[in-house]
Amino acid sequence: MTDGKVLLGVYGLSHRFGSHTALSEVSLEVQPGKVVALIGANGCGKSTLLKLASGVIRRQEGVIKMGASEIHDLKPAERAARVTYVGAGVRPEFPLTAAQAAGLGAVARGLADPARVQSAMEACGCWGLRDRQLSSLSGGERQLVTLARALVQGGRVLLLDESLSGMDLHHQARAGALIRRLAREEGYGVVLVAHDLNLASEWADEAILLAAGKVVASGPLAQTLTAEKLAQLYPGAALTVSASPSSGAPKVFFAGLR
Amino acid sequence: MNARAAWRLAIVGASLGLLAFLLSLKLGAAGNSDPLLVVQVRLPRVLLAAAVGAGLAVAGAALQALFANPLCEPYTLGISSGSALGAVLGGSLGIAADYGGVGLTAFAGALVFAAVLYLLSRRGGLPTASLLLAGVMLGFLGSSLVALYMALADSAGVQGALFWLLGDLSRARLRGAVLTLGAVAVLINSLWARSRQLDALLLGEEDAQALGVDVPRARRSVLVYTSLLVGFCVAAGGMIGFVGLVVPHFVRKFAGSLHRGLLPLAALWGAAVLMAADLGARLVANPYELPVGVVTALFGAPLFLWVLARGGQRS
Repeated sequence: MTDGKVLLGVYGLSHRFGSHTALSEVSLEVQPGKVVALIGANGCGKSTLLKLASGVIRRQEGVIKMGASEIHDLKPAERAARVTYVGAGVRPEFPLTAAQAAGLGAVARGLADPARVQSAMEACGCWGLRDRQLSSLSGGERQLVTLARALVQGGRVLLLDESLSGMDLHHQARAGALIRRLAREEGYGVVLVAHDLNLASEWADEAILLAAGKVVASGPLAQTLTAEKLAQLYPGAALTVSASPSSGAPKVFFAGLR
Repeated sequence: MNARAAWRLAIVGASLGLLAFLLSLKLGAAGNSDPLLVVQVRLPRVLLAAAVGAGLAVAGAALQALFANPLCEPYTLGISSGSALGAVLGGSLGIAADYGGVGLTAFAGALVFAAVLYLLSRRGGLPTASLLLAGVMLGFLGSSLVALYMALADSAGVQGALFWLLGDLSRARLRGAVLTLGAVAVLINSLWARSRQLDALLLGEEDAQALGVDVPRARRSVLVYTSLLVGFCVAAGGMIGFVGLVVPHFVRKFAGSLHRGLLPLAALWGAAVLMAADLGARLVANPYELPVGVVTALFGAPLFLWVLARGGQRS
């Protein structure tokens, strides 16, 4: 479990696109061994937060620290070796095999080590697709390959932005188990954006609820995934929450429109 | 994996290139092999065809990665057009009477247009699609200015401007051809050294950034090397189309998109294709010669469609 160490700390982060405020005063700490679900409606700033936290887009206001250093003081390759941002999936416009695409995780270091690519693809359950062209894979299969690419990249902070949403239940469960194992056994710190609250509650230890660029609630699932708090995020939906009979994790039920 | 396909492609490309090279030395309108003719006329021309073909193909591959868009090449981005404009202006101002002068102004034109593209992309972070559109507009601008010059020029000036617009290797001289070949080789090598950055750029700006590539810096250096490459090629042979678009696509179909293999193969095939095309341009309408740019365009479009159809069947 955590020893209070912070892999990545975001403090007082605000971001504007033109006159639109995407984030205001958001703070977040990524700790080793923990999986945090980032939850919120479309356009509430989840992706912006993860892209800022990974240094993909430049910070305007606030502090983003990795250990002792500010993220923008790190060289891009050093940053990428410590924090991995995974978007919705690799783009298939150019001919690449799945193994080549996964190997691109090592791009800042040079050529990918084939053994490392193989073990990453095996862990993600996509080694069988290695010689297939990306353009011939389904969206979910491409997401498996992208997840393998993230493992090849190897940053201890894993920021997953809807990275599992196109997978079928089998692969989602497998990817979820993988993420939990990485956190518990290898000390990864994971933040994941997921619209499927019930899957997220199965994998995450904690949740951060984001509405209109502000943190509404954060903490253990039992205190954050409640009907009252979720109502602030999704005002159009009537929701009830009860504990799963098997895992005890909070499960959200759709009770109709409001 | 793709390694065997890549080797096969390299062997076929090298054989084709060698065949085109030897035939280019052997065949011609004069129908004989007078040593003086071979060394002073045919050799420079075939060397120049190889250099320009290799340069344009690699420039196309690099630009496609740079903008993560398979439709990019020196022409669609307007860089060739800027280069041709530079050459025409240089000619009209009289500073481009010899090969070196033309090279200088063509190259300046390519750099100016590439710099405008780059500055546009820096101001407010123009997204890739807008950058491509900006390139198309720059291309229109360059071509219209060349056309304007043609409308105002005398008949000798029109002939000169047509040479740049159509693409023609008939002006090759040994010194210029060797110079172009050397410059193209150095620049291809500089781009090849950035293979992994180009690989990352294929995924788009955001992913490349997330993977640890310094995207603004990588884009800047690729843009500079590419416009140098285009400047040398256009200075030597005018605007020759299709090579920069089709050769990289053709090679990718068989050998994949990773630039460590793609760039050398594109250079090889670009050289072979343009040597063969120029041979055709010299012989097909004997005793007249066609501009090689016309030949590449005539064969390029159907070949492009064929490659696309084949790829569609396989996947």
